[in-house]
Amino acid sequence: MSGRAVSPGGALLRTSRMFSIPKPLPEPPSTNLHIGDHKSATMTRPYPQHQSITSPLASREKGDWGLKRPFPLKSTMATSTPYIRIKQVDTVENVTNFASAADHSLSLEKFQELRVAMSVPFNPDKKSHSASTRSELWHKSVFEEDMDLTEFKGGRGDDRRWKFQGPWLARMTEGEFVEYLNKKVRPKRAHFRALLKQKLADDITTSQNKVALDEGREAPPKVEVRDITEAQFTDYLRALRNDRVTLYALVSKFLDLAPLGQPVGIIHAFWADRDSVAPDSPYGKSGPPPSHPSAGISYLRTNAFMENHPVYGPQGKRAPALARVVYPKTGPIPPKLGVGGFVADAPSGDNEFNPRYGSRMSVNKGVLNGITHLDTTTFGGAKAYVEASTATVDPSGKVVLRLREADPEAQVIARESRGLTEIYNDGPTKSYVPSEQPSQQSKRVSDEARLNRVADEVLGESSRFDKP
Amino acid sequence: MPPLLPASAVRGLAIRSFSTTSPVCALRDTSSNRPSPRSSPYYNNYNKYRSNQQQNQQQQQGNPGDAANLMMTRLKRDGSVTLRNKQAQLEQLRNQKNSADYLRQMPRRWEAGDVYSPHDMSPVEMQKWRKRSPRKADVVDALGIRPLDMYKNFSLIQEFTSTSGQITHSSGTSLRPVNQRKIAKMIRRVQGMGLYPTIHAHPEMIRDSFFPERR
Repeated sequence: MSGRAVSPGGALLRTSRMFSIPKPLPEPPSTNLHIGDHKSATMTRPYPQHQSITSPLASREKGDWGLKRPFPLKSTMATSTPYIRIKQVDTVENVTNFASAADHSLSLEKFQELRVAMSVPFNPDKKSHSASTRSELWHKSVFEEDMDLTEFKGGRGDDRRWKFQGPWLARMTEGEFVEYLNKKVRPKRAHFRALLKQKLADDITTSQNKVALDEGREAPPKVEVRDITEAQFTDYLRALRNDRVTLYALVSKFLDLAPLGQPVGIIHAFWADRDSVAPDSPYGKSGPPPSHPSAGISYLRTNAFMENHPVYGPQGKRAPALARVVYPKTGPIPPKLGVGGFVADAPSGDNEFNPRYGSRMSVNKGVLNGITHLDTTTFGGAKAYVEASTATVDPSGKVVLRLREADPEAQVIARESRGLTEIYNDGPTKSYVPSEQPSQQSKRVSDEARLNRVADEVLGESSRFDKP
Repeated sequence: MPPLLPASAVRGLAIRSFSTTSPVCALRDTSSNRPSPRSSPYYNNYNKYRSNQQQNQQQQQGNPGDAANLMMTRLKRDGSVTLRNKQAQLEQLRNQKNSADYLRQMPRRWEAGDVYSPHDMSPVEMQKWRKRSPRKADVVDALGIRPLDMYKNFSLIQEFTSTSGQITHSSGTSLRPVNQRKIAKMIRRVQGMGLYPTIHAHPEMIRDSFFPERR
């Protein structure tokens, strides 16, 4: 494991828990960039910053967690979730600073029970290519071989990377941007000018060759960088400054910037033939993730599998998960559901999570209890079955679940598995025979319709049945 | 349908006609094709003829009191429907108020991707979301501004002065020393120039506390 050069004692020390605890991750950035926004210091962070460690029962009883000193039994033994995070191995007060890590450990466990496959961000406004419309039907896994790459190879697949050398300009503050320009970009000016000169020489050579080919002449000698005059180069720079598309493509390739959304007012077809990063990258719109796009939270490649029920056989829909309505709908903000400890937007569309005023569909389906206002009558709050379809990692490192409405049949089966309903029938089934007397009934119906019409006339409500 | 009366009673009712005005006729004559309400002699004759003719069929055709009965039930039903609607509205209003009261105790605005554990739902934790957390970052660095150029930005100056016009200490502004010095210099200058008051906040900033109805 550790090299042969290390002494046995040193090797033991290196593999010990005390030395193998990794450095904590940085504090998650504030999403809405308002400095000094509302937050709590003790809240559960969107991602764990410290490693969560546990210890077997026999060792825990002795307070042995593999660290420098024994842990207090009073706090570490009185819990059903023996996970701790070490904030500091040794402090000046000669204690080990630790806290419970049950929150993230259990969230991870619940997330893996959901069996969600992580996918690259879904880009809804990408509809120009006929090839991409087919792939919109399902989510693309982050572990696809053409997407899951980090190294810059200078080839075709570069634009699908998730990791870039340069920053993502959209997330930078003004001050950070100015500093980036001064510290990182300005020293590279000479290098970029040399690159532009080379590109100009290549462009001139190509156009000369093309003209020669059209006129049937011999190709002229290749234009070298040293042949280009200063005036020629200045003209080229001026032309380039007005051609924002080309310049943007060149600059972002040179600095290896994370892709930004396409500039406004640029025609798609015109944009597509340029050698730029933006059009093909799945992270162009949403921004690149800070970690691997799976965030290490799930290693499933697909959710295209069938679940098998021991009695009913293979299931068309996956087992739904019970979601808690965390916050009701407030104005245009959709209601928030909590699935396995992860907050997600309620599924959109015409379903029980979206009240629709004045539509006939909502009358049939009804709205779930806690959606329009907080449900204070149900014990433990309103809950509903949903199906987690996929999840993505957003630029601040959050795992954003996408939920779907659960199939009613799958809901019944899930409820039965918890013993809330009885639908399984073991005995013989009876066929249903409709009762006879159809002729008499139709007469009764016509009589009743007539009576109704009379009553309408008298009550002056005839207009409401006149409608077709 | 109400239970059918004995056949004799039905016949007696059908023959007798108390009134010849059209609505009553219409009421009595429910089982036939109802003619349009016209008070003409022709219509009365026609009606009598019809009732005689129908005497035999009366048993199958139903009860003439049915229409009135139906009307009563419908009136009752409509009344109960409106009552139920009103009750539902009241219930909804009560729920809304109840919900708003509870949500005031839950100031955290959840965003998609947040992770929660049981203690995040506790009242102690929720109270922490009520007030703004103190600023930690250096605003001048984050915004990339030059403080000395900001001397006409009174809302910015107000951020770094007390209500009595004193410069806030760097522990309150969370600026790094360089930026704190620049900001302090700018405030001293603008107060020295007489553009910003030295003993109170700028009048434009405190106008609302003196003339609240101006909004």
